[in-house]
Order: sequence, then structure tokens, then C-alpha cells
Amino acid sequence: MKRLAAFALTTTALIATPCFADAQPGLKHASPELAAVTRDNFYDVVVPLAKAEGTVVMYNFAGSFADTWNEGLLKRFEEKYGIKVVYSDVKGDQADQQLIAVQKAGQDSPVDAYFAGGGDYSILAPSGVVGNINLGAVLPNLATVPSQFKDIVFGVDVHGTYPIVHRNQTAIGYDSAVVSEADLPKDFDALLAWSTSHPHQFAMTLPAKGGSGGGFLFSAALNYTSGDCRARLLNYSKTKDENEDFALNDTCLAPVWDYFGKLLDSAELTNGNADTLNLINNKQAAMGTVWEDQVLTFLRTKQLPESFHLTLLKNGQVGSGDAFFVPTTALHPAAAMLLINEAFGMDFQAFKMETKASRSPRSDFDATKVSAETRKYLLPDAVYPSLSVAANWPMTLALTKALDEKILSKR
Amino acid sequence: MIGLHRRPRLELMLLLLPGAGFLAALFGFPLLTALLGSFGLVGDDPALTLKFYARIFTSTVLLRSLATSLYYGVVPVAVTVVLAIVLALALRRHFAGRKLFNGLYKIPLKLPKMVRDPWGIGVIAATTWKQLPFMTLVITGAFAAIPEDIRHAARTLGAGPIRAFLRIELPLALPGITAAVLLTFIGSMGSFAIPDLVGAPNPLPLSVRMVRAFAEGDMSQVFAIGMVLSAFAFAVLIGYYALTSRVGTAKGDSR
Amino acid sequence: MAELQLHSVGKRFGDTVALRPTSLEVEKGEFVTVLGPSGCGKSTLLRILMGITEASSGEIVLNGRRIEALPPDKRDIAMVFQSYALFPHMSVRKNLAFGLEMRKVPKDEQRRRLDHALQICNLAAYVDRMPRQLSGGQQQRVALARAIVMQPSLMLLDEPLSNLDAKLRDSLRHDLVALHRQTGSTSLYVTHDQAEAMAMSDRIVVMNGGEVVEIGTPVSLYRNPRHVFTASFLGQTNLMPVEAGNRQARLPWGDVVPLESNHRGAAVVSLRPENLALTPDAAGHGEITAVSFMGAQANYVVRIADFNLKASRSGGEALLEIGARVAVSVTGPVSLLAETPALGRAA
Repeated sequence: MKRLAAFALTTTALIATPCFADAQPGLKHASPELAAVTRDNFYDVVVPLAKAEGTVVMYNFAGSFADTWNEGLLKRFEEKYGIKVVYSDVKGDQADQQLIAVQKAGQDSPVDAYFAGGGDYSILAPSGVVGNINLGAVLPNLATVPSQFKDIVFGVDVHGTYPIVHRNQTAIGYDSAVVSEADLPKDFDALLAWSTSHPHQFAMTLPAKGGSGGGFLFSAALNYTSGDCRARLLNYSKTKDENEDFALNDTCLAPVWDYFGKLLDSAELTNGNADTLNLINNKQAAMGTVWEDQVLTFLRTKQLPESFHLTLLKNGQVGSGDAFFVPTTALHPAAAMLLINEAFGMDFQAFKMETKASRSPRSDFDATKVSAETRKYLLPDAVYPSLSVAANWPMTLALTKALDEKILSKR
Repeated sequence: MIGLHRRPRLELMLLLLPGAGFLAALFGFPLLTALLGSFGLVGDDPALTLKFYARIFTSTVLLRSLATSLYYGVVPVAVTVVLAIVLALALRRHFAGRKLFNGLYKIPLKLPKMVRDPWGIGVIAATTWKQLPFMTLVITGAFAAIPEDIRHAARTLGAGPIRAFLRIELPLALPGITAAVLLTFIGSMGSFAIPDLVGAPNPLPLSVRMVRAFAEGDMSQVFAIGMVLSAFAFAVLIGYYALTSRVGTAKGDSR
Repeated sequence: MAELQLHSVGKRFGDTVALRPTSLEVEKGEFVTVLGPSGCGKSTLLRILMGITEASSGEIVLNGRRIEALPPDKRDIAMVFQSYALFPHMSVRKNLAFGLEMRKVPKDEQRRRLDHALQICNLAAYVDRMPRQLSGGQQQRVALARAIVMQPSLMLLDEPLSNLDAKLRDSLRHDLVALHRQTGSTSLYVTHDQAEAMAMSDRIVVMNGGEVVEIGTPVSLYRNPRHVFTASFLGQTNLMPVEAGNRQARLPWGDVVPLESNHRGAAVVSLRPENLALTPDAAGHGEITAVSFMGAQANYVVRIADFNLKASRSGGEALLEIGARVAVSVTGPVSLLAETPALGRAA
């Protein structure tokens, strides 16, 4: 028995020893030259280094984007620079945990350029996975990207290490063959009224299982609060516990819970983003919480009827985005930076807007350039970008848990 | 190596090392990590705490999830075992089996909306469908192990087919049936895919919550939920052995 | 009227005939044995009587009732299985009480019958034991008792002694016969063991190849078999080709013996070993080629006129040696045999 105790203790000690990553280390495999690169000498320095590396490994967390990456970026990148791209689709949460584990073990990252969820920064950063290189300041194609998409992203100070390459928008989607323009709700109150008079026709994605629902929850919270309460919702500097405590206990959120208590009496909760769209496609619901870009993909693959349209409610619905970054211990940092730069280029930004309704973070991007065919599937100019508001995912998470606790667990 | 023969215990341990070592490395070690992690002893800021367990047993949300997990564990298994017994008996006679199958495969086409409903009909149906082959196989074996003569004896002693089944065959097949039920229950309670896809969004079973916690990077909560599910599975097994060890002395092997 | 009557009961499986249409009768209280080698149809007959196999043709009448269409639980039959088929999860008492419970026999009557069966089968000491705690012989007695308590119109016994060793078999055979005398139950006993059949039965039904060959008492079947199969299956015999005529038969080595039948021409007779006398005689036509001393009996093989005859003498007499020359004479009756079975087939 003594031997067993000793074994257990040793094991515990080994596991419990945290691997402290140095505060703000640079990219492990970047030469001093690469580490010191600027926007002016970027191509001169990076291209030869990247070609010398010869290959770059890319992860994509968004399944529906696979063909867009390959057709729109990777083929051209390979042709242009002669650098081979090794591409993988991954499951976001699993890849995140993998990278964290690898980082903690002091090993090299299996990926060089990782297209990851915008809200994942807070999961990845603490263990030092996100490479400390200010891509926002260094990559030429990020010159025209405003600060909120490269420096302070969704309230978190990322110092340009985690730039948003793809922007998306939560919205309300509806079958215009069933819901006329006259009946279409314009704000949250009207939506509640519509849902009450059309029970089980409004499909709301369960916030815990899909961002279209989470975004809706946060948007409603912003709508039904004001002053300090609303400001608190948009406060990005609070800890997870503080957010959860606020969401669960603060009385200023009462109107929000009141709203959802009533809404969920008639609305249909779904199991995810795709589930909501499937319901509407199968005529089990007429309206639902959606992502604009996912809708385009479904429309193109005939998984939604042609009569499907989008709108945004007053006083605004959440817009979000996903990032493209270089992990700290990436083996081919120069090639990765070159690839990421290419992803922010006009060609690819236009391509992905056209194919996936992926909005660009670049302020010099002309969204009207998109084809007429695509245009009719996007949000109408009357509502976008005027009714788009910024997301606060940590707070959204806290609100989701509070919704569970206060409303869902009582049904 | 001669020295080893003089130390049989050492020799035994060395022989067991590959197999037991493999198990210890790939199962034991992660399990130990999960156990320690559930008490908060793994990760960036290790500190012994019961809060992850406390959450499961005090939070209404997670308690309902536990109840849902139990529901998704028990009900499909109950439905499956009844169906499996019927199937096992039907398979003994060719003609009845054919009629049964003709009806059986048509059923899924005729049922109405079965997903996302509060009673979990979709989950129960899909889980039953998934578990049925294994259960039927084991239960058919359990009944086949009963000598034919015993059934005939019951019949000639005046028992009709139903009473012969209930009083003689079922008790004798019970050890096999119980084993099938318990094995299936353990998997059923922790099942993720089917409840995630066709279950009601509310309440979510613990397995789905576990995946969500993983996505949020809350590993300690993941470990705690995993431990609770494992503990239930373990408790069920202990209960099984406790029950059957007593019943075992009452049943005998016929010579 | 006979307790059990079978009228042309037959069974075919597709093109295979397992049992040719068979008729036979068992009187009330009789102990009848169905005797034959494996595959003779006796198991099929048993299963049909039990009710677990449906006959392809024919009727079964038991105690005045037509039962061939009834399920096993509605016939008044109790069966003792070769494998005993005791319910492993029930004690001896519960095993015995099961059938009584099924037939809704009143409680006090149940107890009475139970006690009686326990007593005559000598099982009182084991009443609360589980089957796996009993020896083979004890299990067999429980199986028997379980059938006896039912007081059925017909008892069926399927080779119940074949799983026991020789000594036990002997003693249980005596018990079975004694039990039968005590209970007086009409019994149909199935076996392949001819010694058993002859020792226990009032009558024997000899079967072979799916049909009844001959029916008779043990003595008549042994001493006057009418069929080749019966003669060779029951005990030992010498099948001799003879010339028959004038109520006489000439044996191959020239001896002439009386014949009951007035058959003329070539025939086959059955000559039992114990009906051959061997006398040492240097000029005798026979030569001893084999000797087996069995204790109470000594068996010999005698070569005479190109035939190997089986002969037996009392073990008390002086043993003959191999090679000894003997004179052979017939000291008992011979039976004329027919090839085709005369009985059992539907007219």
C-alpha cells in the first residue's frame, strides 16, 4: 500500500506542476529577422523565408468553409509562391485542447496557421498558444483593417495577434412565402407578439448549442436594458465568475428574463444552428435565429427554399467573426504569416463574400461589388450594417448559463 | 532468468506487465487524471475543491441533466429488453419471426414527429434501435442455453406456453438477460450522439453538458461530470453483483 | 377398452418418413416397452405422444379422449426425461409441486400426493435440496416422483436409466418395477436396451426403421420370435438357413428338428445358444473356436459345416477348450422367421 501511495503522490505532483509559459514569448521558430519584420519590408523578408520553409500546415474549424479556403486561397497561394499547403478540417474545441496540451508540454505545434473561432482567444491565450506577433501591425493586407478587428477583438486586448479575417452576422431568417413583409416583426416586442400568435413557428437555437441563439440572447439583453446595466453587458474586462454572478443575480436583467419566459412559451427550441434551418426548410417553423453566412451556404446547396430571406431586429443584433493566427511554437512561421496575409487580400475577401457571405473586416472593402445573385441572399442594405452590434461572448456565455438556470430548468 | 523461477511473484508481475501495463497506461492513467482533475487538482491553478461536484448536485440545471441522463439510460433499455425478449422468442420459430419482421421494419416510417419532444420519444426510439441487435443476440443466447427438455417438462406438467415461459424459461434466462441489461444501461446512460441530435434541447443530459464544458475549456467540470457518470455505472455494477450473488445460490446448473 | 390406443399414427418430415403409420394399444396398468435401436422411430413416437411433435396422420385416444390435437399441457400425460429435466432454480419440493400447481390441485391433496411420492421414491431427506446438490440416481428419482404425483392416465419414460452406471441401473430398475406395481400407472417405457426391456415389461413393442416389427410379451418374443430383427435384437441367436417340410427343418449339418409351422421349402430359423448342447467327441463335427467365461454362463463359438454357431452352457459345467471337437445337438425349439414385419402396419 505504501508503494501505491507513493505512486499516486508522484503522479499528482507531475500533473499538478503547471508549465509556466514565459509571459509574452515570441514565436519559437522565428528567426530574429522574421521577429523584427515591419509592414514596409514584409514581402522582402518573409517571402524568401517562407519559400525556404517550403510548406505550411493550416487548420480550419468551420466545416462549411473547406471549399472556400481550398478554391479561393490555397490553390492560388501554392501557385503564386510554390509553397505547399497541408490543409486539415478540425473540430474547434478538440483542436484548441490539443494545442493547449502541446504548448504545455513544450512541444512544437502541429499547425502553423489556424483559422479559429473568434471567441476562442480566452481559451487559447492563457496557456500561451497564440503566437506573440502583432500581425495587425506587420501584415500589409491588414493595414486597412480597423482596430476593433485586430487590436481589441470583442473586448479583449489581443495586440494584433488574433486578427478577425471572417466576419459574420446573426440575424432573423424567415420563409417569405409564409411570412409577408407586412407581418414581419421589426423589433423584439413585435417578434414576441408574432411568436405568441404563431405558436411553434419561431425556432430559437438553444444558446448553449449554437451561436445564432447565443447572439439572439445577447441582442435581446442589450435591447431590454439601458444605462449602467447595458454598459455592464458591454464590459469586456470582467472575469468569468463576475459575469456569471451578474447574469444570474443582478435584478436589472429582470426584463430580459421576463421576455424569454414569455417567448419560450410559444417558441420552439432547437438543437443547433443547422437544426433551426432544417426546421424552416421542412416547414415545421416559419422563422428562426440564424447566421447570415450559414444561410447562404444552405441556400446554395438547396437546403433552404428560395423564398428564404433575412432581416435584423431593432435595436440591433450581434455580429461576430473568426480569426486567423500563428501558434507560438509553429514550425513554419514565415509561411504562415505569408498565408495569413494572403487571406486578408482583396481577392480572397471578395471570393469568400461571394461564396459564403463572409463579410470583410477591411474598411476599404466594397460590399456592393458582390454579384446580384449573391446580393439577394444577403441582409438588405436597409438593416445592415446599421443594425449590427458588437458581440461580447464571455457575457453571452454567462447569460446562457443564467437562462438555463432561471428559465429552462423550470420547464 | 533462472533466478525468476525462484521468485514466482516477480515472475508473475513481469508476465502481467504488458497487458496490465497497457491498461494502466491508456485507461488507468487518464482515469486517475480525471479523478484528480475533478477535485480541481489538475490544470493551471490546482487547488483541492469539491465545487465541481457541488455544482452537479446543487445546480438545478445539472441535477435535471443527471435526471435526464438516468431517464435516457433506463427507459430505452427497458423498452429494448422487452422487444429483445419478444424477438428472441420469435426467432425460435421461423414463420412467426417473418411476420414480426414484416411489421417491425415498417414502424419507423409511420410514427409522427419524434424529435426534440419532452418525453424523448425520438431518443428512446433511436437508442432502442441501436441497442436491439446486441440485446437480442445476448438474450437469444440466454434462452438457447436452456435445455429444450426443461421446456417440454413444464408443458407436460400442465403449464401452458405463457406460464411455462414466465415460471420456467424467464427465471432461467434471467442471468443472461440481466447481464445484457446492465451492460447496455451503462452505455445508454452516458450516450451522447443520439440525445445530442434528436433529444429535446431542454433539459440536456449530462453527456451533452460534458461536451459543452469541454468546448468552453472547463476541464475540471468535464472531469467531475465524467466521474459522476462513471460512479453511477460502477454503482449499477456493484448492485448487480450484490443481487445476483444471492440469486446464484438459488439457481443451479442442471446436470 | 384399452387405456391408450394409437390408430395409424405416422410422421413424415418432407419426404422422409420418421414413423410409418402405427397402431398399438396399451391396457390400463400395463407396463409396455418400446424397444429399438437409434433411429427406429421410438423417439418420434414419444414426442408425438407428448404433444411436442404433431403427427402427420392418425388418431390417439387416451382414457376415451381423442388427444392428438391437444397441446401438451392439456393431455393427461406425465413424462420422465432421459436428462431428468428438473427445474434447476427450484427445490425438489417445488419441482414436485409444480405440476400440481399447474393443474390447480387443492392444497391438501397436493400435500398428500407429495408426501406419498416422496415416501415411495425414498426422497424425504432431500425435499428441500436443489437439483444440483443431488446425485444422478437421486435426480432420476425426483424426475420419477414428479411424474408420479400427477397420477396421469399415461406415464412416458424416455430411457431414464441410460445415464447411470451399471450397478445403479440394476438397482433402479428393480425400484421402477416395484414402483409400477405400487402405483399401477399405465406406462410406456422407451429404451434401446433389450435386457432392460425384457426384465421390466408386460409387453414389448419392437421397432426398427420407423415401423413396428413385432409386439409380444418378453417370453413369447424371446422364445417365439416371428421376425429376423426380433430374434437378433433380443438376446443372442443363430440365424440358420434350413430346408423345411412335413413340420420339420433340416439344419445345415444334417440334424433334423421339429417345426411348428408346415412351411415347405427354404427358410430361416432362430436357434438360441442355450438350446445347443455340446458334447466332447473326438469324432464330432463341431470344433470350438472361441470361449468366453462370463461367470454364471460360458459362451462358445462352434465351427460346424462352415457356420460359426453361438452356444452357451452353465458356468458351473466344465469349460471346453479352443480346438476341442464336439458333437452338436439341438435341445430346444427353433422359430421360423419371416422377413417382413407382420404387425404394426395399418391394414
